[in-house]
Amino acid sequence: MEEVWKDYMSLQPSLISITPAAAAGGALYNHRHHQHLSPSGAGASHSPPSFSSPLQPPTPPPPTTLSLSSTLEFTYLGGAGAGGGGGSSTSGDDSRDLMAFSFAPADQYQYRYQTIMKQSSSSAAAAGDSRRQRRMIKNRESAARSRARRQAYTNEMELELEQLRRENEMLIKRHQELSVRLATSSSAQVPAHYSSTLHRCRSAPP
Amino acid sequence: MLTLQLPQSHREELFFCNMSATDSLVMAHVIQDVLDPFTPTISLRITYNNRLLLASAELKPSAVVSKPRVDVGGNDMRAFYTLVLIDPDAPSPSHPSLREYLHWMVTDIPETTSVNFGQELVFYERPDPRSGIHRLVFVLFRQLGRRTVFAPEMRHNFNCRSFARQYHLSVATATYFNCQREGGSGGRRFREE
Repeated sequence: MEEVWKDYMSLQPSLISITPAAAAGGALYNHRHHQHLSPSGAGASHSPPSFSSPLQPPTPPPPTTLSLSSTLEFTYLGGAGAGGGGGSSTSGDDSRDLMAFSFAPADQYQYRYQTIMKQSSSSAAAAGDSRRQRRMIKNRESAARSRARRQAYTNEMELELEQLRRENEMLIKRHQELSVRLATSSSAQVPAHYSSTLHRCRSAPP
Repeated sequence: MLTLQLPQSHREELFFCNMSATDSLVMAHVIQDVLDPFTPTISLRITYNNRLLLASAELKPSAVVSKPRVDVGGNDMRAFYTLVLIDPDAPSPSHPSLREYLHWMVTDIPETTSVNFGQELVFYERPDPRSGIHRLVFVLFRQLGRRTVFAPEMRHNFNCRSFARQYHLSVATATYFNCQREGGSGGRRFREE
């Protein structure tokens, strides 16, 4: 991976010189990157007016600043998803058009970089991806079962609640009826003070 | 839980009041994985350790070690029923390769009586789930006549639908509970016990 970037860095001056030409062809990239292009607008005395400061060939950026400027130039040149290489090829076709303007080695170079990235992703990362996907699916199913369980339980609880309420109502009514009946029957027949004492069975009052 | 013992008839009156009695079974996908949609025609009281079983309850393996008390409702003692207990999530809910595992089968149970009055063709094997949360489904089938139902060769890969077709049975009612291994920590938390 480091070798790849080293090679890229060695190509920097030539890349820089092509950017104006590329800019002319791929005008749609200008507005996005123009502030970054100003230092690299170098080398072309008749650079398009969009470049603010012309003309000095900038020194190739040292390796430490690799991440920022080089990725931006990479993006500008190729139009592909910056630095990451792997996924986005939404502007894949555009990049190929731009390639027409760019320097041959850079062309080959970027293509090589992209294929290398693709190979490594297809072997290691893809296996990891499918494992992750399978795990996700399993988890989703488990979550669905969990939800189903919860809904069934809640439903059952609600049914039981209704049933118990009805039963309770019925029991309260029954209890009231019974206590009323008991009160009326006792007042009609047996005087209160007799109820707590023992009665003779056969000769008891009716 | 209400501990007052009501006469069977009283409870039955209440049972027929709710027409959505199979909703819990639908939500838990018991109706779909094990059974086709049906209308319950009789009541079934299943009691493990003096506790009445409600659908979708969670029971530990230690609570279902021995066979439960099962009381069949109804009025007509001339009708006969078959009760089965199956596990559609064996050996694991994510890979139920042994669906359905037959834990228990009792046939020729007369209506209004209990499972003790029937013939235990497949003895009760206590549920012992190793992985995941399993549904354990009780299905009560109505038989055409006495001595018309026979046990399968094996417990695993039982199929309620084809069993019913084979012996001309109709589903009278069903219920289920959830069970996971004794030390399991899956499912709902913060239950009262």
